[in-house]
Amino acid sequence: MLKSPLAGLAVLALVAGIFATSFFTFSNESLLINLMAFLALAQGINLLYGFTGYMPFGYVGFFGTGAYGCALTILFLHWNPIAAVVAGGLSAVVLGVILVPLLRLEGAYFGIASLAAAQAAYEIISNPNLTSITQGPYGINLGAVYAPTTGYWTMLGVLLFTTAIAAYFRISRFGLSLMAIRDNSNSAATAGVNVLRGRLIAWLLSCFIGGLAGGAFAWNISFFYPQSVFALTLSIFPIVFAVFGGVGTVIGPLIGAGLLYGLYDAVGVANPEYFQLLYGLLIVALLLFMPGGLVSLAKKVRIHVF
Amino acid sequence: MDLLVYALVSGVLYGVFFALVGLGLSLIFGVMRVVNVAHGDVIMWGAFSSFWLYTLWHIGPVLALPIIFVSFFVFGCIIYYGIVPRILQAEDPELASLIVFFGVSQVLEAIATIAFGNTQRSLPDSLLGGRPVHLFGQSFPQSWFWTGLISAAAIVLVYLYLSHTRTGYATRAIMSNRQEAASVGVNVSALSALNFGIGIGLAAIPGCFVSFIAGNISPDIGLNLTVISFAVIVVGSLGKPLGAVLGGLVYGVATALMQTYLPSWAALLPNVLLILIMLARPGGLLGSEVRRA
Amino acid sequence: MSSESSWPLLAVRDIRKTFGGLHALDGVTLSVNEGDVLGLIGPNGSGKTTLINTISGLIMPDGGSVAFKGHDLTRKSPDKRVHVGINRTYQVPSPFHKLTVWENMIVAATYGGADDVDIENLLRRAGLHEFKDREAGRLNSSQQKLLDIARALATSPKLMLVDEIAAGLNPKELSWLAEWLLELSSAGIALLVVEHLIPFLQLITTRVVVMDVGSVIFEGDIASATQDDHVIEVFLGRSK
Ligand SMILES: Nc1ncnc2c1ncn2[C@@H]1O[C@H](COP(=O)(O)OP(=O)(O)OP(=O)(O)O)[C@@H](O)[C@H]1O
Ligand SMILES: [Mg+2]
Repeated sequence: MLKSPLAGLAVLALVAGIFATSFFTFSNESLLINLMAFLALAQGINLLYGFTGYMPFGYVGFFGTGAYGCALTILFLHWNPIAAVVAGGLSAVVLGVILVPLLRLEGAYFGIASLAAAQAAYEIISNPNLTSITQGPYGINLGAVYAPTTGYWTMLGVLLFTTAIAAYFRISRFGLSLMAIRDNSNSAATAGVNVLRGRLIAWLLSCFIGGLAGGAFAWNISFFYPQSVFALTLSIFPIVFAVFGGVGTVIGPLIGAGLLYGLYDAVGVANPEYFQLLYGLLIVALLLFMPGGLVSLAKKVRIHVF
Repeated sequence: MDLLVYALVSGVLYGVFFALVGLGLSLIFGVMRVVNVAHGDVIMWGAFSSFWLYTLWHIGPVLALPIIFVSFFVFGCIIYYGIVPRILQAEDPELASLIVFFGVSQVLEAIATIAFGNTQRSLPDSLLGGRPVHLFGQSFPQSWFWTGLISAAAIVLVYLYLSHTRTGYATRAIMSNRQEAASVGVNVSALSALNFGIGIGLAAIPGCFVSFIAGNISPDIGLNLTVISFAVIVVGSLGKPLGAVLGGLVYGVATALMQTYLPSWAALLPNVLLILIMLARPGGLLGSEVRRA
Repeated sequence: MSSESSWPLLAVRDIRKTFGGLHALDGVTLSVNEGDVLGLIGPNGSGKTTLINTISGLIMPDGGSVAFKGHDLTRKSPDKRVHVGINRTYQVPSPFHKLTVWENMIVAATYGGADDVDIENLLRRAGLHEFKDREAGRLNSSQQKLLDIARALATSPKLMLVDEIAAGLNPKELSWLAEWLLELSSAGIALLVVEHLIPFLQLITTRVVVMDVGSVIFEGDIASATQDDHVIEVFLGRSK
């Protein structure tokens, strides 16, 4: 009855194949890096929103924290960048642990509080008083360890890890129990599910992924300001991608991010406010008219979506 | 000591202003459980309306108030009928409203950026007085007093509306129980639209003063104002419009103290305050006493 | 510790719970023994559901204790209580809406702590087998109630707390349901059944506990409950 692990392997192979060949055939690497980061973020938001019902507007907080966690371990501890990316993920987990109490809040309140938390993380990291540690508002330079090839494969690794987790949620009984908690936490508890544990695992995994993506991104662009890794658009875009494709599935967020980021790139990044306008309208229209996303259309014609 | 006096006086003035900042959000949430995260962007639009009314036709902020209130009231009613009834049918209307209005906030900010550019603007302080006021041996911008006074007047009007008019009674009935209000013949839908309009109109009014309090305005101030508004009404218990007054004062004084004694960390305040208060009283926010499980 | 059989299956002692200023439970004591079928009646708002919530662990009481087979459970989480053998249904049926009927059962069978659960059979008994691939949110409300029972049974409970299962069912469904509950009882599951419909209760038991404003006011058989002055006053003397 559960979905087959084969479907998960197929999606992983597809994602790996596409980005591996693109690396050799497609010259615009920074576009690919951004796309992979967005795919991972959309998937990370999907893990939380699609499987547990918490909408993390402040998801960018974990991305930014991961970027800084990675950068600071490179600058101060001189870690190998790949290990530093993992450290970035872990620093986002630390932030996630601090924010665990937010899970007591329901729907809208969680969303708002997570947004405030991301803002707070930004205010702290960019604070001029902390310049000796974080460089404050002046930004980080990782030019000394810049390595486009390994950086690229690391980002792909992050994306594959994320996709694998999503696939695990989709096919496992653990994932089913998360969706049970999402639908009705009381019933889940009286079906024997440890509600707190389930939510914690999903939450911290999602934080970890946000942080990994941030770390890999930081390494790949190698120079950044706090406002560029804490930009709210880094929450908004992936939310739109995930909701547009369809949350609670593995391929929904991937398709959503692929299509919309493609569109974004095709029209050109020169005028971000036009995208803000378009995406704002998309959020409104989607929630009002197609809350299940693209995959809900497939479900209507009884196509099973993985 | 002098610093403390300065902080307290300006804190109270800020506080009344921030109470008004939160009031419209609270009213809308109280009446229809819609979480208007575009609130700050409406304030921003109010601010730009006031800016352009002055720049183009020399209409000062005080004269602009009625014009702005009425136009935003109408705008609010339109948004209401376009969006809200659909949201209320969703599985989880509060969360749906949050996401939808998040989209609306992006649209409002984007249009403002496209129309006005990403530059900071400000209105001359002389529009609201000009000469500083001396009080307790300190001097304060006169515009702060006018801002506080007008905000207080707006709050009193809302209070009178809720407590002394028939529509106000009916509105409070809806706030305490939507179904029951409907069953005793209150036209819930029309009143929701009305109050949504009022809530949006009320959001635009403090916009006229943002430039005087914050120094300048730009299209990207919406998010911060939204977070501040939530901090204010969460302190004063979400959905109880007059709780916003308490929240505004707490927030205003806290901000003034932070700006006086710890200026470089002041920007953290609304965020941290919001999170702490939400965690301290999740029940108070939800209107139910316990969260099961 | 002495042998388990010397303890009542469930012992609720002096449970208190207030919401704001309201005493929803004001010192409730009651016990359920192995093999019991016990009715629990009382007017609206008398605290029946709150009592079930404290026994199943969804609400932590302000005072008092809940013990199962002599082991104190008062501070245990709901899932732990499921694992020792307490389960329940909900007054407002509470399936996992977006999961299929089958998936609803899988969750309980996987996490409920029971070995080899026969889901097929449970669904057949509940009359839900033909709907097993339907989203639970699309079942009608009686079907959702039956799913509540089936899902609880998938955790192999020794005590079932049944909260107003009969409301809204037609007479045929009622007698069928009574039969099912009796069958569970004879399979060794103790039942605490909250019910407004006395005739339905009479189909499955003779013993009731009566609650009013957070306290137990009567314990005994249904026949003498209907003669008891206090009970009569509570049910008839006050307008609902
Ligand atoms: N979570 C809660 N928050 C606040 N008050 C509550 C809560 N749950 C129950 N109450 C109140 O506690 C009292 C007892 O409610 P309870 O649901 O236990 O009654 P009941 O006997 O099950 O009634 P009914 O027959 O209507 O189901 C009621 O006054 C109710 O309003
Ligand atoms: Mg009840």
